[in-house]
Amino acid sequence: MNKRISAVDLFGVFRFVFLSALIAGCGAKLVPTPGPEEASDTLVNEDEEIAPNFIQTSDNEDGTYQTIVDAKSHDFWVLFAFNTSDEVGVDDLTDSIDWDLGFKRYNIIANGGISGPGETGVAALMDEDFDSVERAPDVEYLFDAEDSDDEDQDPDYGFLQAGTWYNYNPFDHTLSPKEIVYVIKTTTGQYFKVSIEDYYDEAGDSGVVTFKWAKVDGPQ
Amino acid sequence: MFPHCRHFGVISCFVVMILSLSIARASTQEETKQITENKSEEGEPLEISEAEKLETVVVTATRTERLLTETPYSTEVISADAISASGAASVAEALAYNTNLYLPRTFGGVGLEMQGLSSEYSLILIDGQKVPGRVGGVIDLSRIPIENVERIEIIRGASSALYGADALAGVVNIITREGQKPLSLKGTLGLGFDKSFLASADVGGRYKNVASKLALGVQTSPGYDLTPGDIATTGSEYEQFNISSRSLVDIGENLELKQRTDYLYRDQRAVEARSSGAVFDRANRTETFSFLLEPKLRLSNLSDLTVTTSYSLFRDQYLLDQRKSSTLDSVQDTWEHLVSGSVQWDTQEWDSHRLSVGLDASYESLRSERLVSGVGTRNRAAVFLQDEWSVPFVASLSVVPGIRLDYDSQFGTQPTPKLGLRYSPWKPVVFRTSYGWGYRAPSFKELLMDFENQSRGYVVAGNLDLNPEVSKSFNFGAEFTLLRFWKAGANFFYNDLENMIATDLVTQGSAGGANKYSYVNVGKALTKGVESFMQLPLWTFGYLKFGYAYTVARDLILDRRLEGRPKHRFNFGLKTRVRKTGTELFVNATRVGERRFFIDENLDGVLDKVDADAFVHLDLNMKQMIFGQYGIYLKAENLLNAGDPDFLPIQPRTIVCGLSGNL
Repeated sequence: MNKRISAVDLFGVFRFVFLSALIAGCGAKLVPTPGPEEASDTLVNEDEEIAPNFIQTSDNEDGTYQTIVDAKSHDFWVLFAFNTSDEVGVDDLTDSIDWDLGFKRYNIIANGGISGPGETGVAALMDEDFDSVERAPDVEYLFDAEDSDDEDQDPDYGFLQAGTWYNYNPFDHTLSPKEIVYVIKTTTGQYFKVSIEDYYDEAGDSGVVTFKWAKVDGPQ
Repeated sequence: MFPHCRHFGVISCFVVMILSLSIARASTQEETKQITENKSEEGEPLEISEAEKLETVVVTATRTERLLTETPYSTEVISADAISASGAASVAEALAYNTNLYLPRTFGGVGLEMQGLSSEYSLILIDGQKVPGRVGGVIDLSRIPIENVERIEIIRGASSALYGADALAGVVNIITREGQKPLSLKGTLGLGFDKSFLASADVGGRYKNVASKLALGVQTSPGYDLTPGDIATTGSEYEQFNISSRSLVDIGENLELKQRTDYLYRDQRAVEARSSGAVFDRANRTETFSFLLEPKLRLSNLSDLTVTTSYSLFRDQYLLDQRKSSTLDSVQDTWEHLVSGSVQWDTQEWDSHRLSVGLDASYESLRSERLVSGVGTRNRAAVFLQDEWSVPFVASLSVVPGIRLDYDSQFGTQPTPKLGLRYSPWKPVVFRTSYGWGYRAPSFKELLMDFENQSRGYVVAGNLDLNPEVSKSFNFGAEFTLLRFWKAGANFFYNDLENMIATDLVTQGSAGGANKYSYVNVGKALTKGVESFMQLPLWTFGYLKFGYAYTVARDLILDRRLEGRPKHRFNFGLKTRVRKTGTELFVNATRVGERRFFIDENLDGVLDKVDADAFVHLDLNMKQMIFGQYGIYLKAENLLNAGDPDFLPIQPRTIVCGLSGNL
């Protein structure tokens, strides 16, 4: 009698176990909802080094301009010229003096030194307010150069002369721009002040550099 | 959960309270007497007698059944009675009332710090079986349901000599209930003012030689937000469902078969914002399944043979869904399997010796996209031996040497000895001292991680040459019991950790290359301190309890305090029950001293010391019995509204009321 009951119960137990095992680990898969179609996804063309429409400039109507550069790609530089306030499409950036600044992720180059055939130099003003800079300082404008005997192993870009242009937050791995006003002397001898404002787009995607800029007078 | 009836919880609470108070008054003494389920006799001075503890049988200290008062290593027990009085809704809540434990909220859930050591150094067991699913070193104790728990046993100090890996700071063993009575029905229903909801039911029965139990539970919570100004939320919204069954079958006179199956499903959702402006909908779906089969064979009057086989599965899906973009979307689907078996022989064949010899074996696998080749596996086998020797001619002295040898397919052999001494020169006084080693095996992630963060250009790689982290721990404690209800005790502890695993930069990224980080055995830490308590009877109604713990926890390599460990913890507890009216009151206040953190606040590359303020967590639970079998309760958690989004992201003040019934 005892034996039969335990056998019946054991069967019940195993049936339950079997049923449980069926549901275990069968929770529906979590999947993300796709974001809106992004411009960069559709425009990246592997055959072409430089693709159009990565730069948007708007007039702030106070003598300054705001430029947003989509530099999300790890593969190519997005080139910018102050004169046209737009993108420059060239086959070989080392063979053109039409561009002034180049952007790739958080790297910024200027057309001079190791980066290009031009003579674009950069000065970094640490304790200045963007609005109060009305005239380019009478200092040395540095060209991009090979890495010197310093801590990092990156080339000595003009934009890195005051250390990185950003602060790195190790907790959420985000970059926030330091308060530095860069003054650029272009190949054609014009001066522009630049302040980097953001490294993210609206959705929080990195590699989208927003900067404010204006033309300034040369040094006295 | 109930958007259409915003004040549902409030109104129902009031209705239930008023009803119950009137009914309670009318209910006779006879009825209330039935339900107190108190083993103590009518003439006992305490109605809720903690004296029960004297007869409590515990299993964790020796891996065999022993009377609590006789264990060689000090065992703390949180009884079913204490759990019910506190109104705790999860194992995490029940443990939080213990002075010697600190439960930090982490990325991986609610963790457990013992003796100043972080969560990965404590072993969490359910019925002696390892709980699967460590996320970031943490077993989320808030997901383990409480309704089926008979008691929780806590052993402090390294216990690897019996339990192997992870038992450095101590062991928490959650013992679940078996079906005992011919038929039992139990149910609980709770509603929170924050629209949280909780329901559980279990049915148990015994027929001839079979005792079975089936339990179900559902919990939902809308989460909470300590920073209403921004889009991000603080505490995840969740839904949880669990089902479990237990059976105990007596097959013949000398064979007993125990079986247990559990399944738990939990969905959590939150909104996360980063300083880049990116906003994520975060979802985390975890499933736990475990199965245990345990035949126990009585070989003779003096020896038992227990065979245990178990399987557990933990599946963790983690989704980050970026709003307005898909660039940063990520899905991780992690599967963890653990198969283990053990054979243990306990005997008292030799006078004055209680001998336990056993073999443990296990197979573990982890499947995750973040591991090299996507999967990690390991085998482990161990042999352990423990002798509890009651020293002849010194009746009150017992010496307990034990040793365990683990072989792991990844790191080789690891021996862990332990020696314990129990001495009771006079019945009310017990001294216990122990010295033991503990170890923690490197996790699969630490061994096999292969993760590249493209957007920031860094790589984290596992290290197959990692050795286990090892600790040496010493405990010395004394306990005094006077007239059964006056109790006091203190325990001094010292833990020395070596080979601690930390991430380190192994290759500096050159131009265009990424920085490579890996795991290395470099850390050293030391924790020491005193844990103490005093318990005073409160006339015949209950007791007062005071606890104080002092902990020094230092990182010896960085020469600074270990992050987030409070130096001081005070605890005050009050538990009363008036049998005449069937009223119970539970109050607990814990003051956690300031905790130090190291954070680069101004982003200058140098870590700044930040001391998070001390806080007091005050909880209260009132229970009123009605009609004998039913009780209504009103629970107020975090009454002082402690919490801040950065260092103490805990749930703000919540009030829950509910109904429970026993048949």
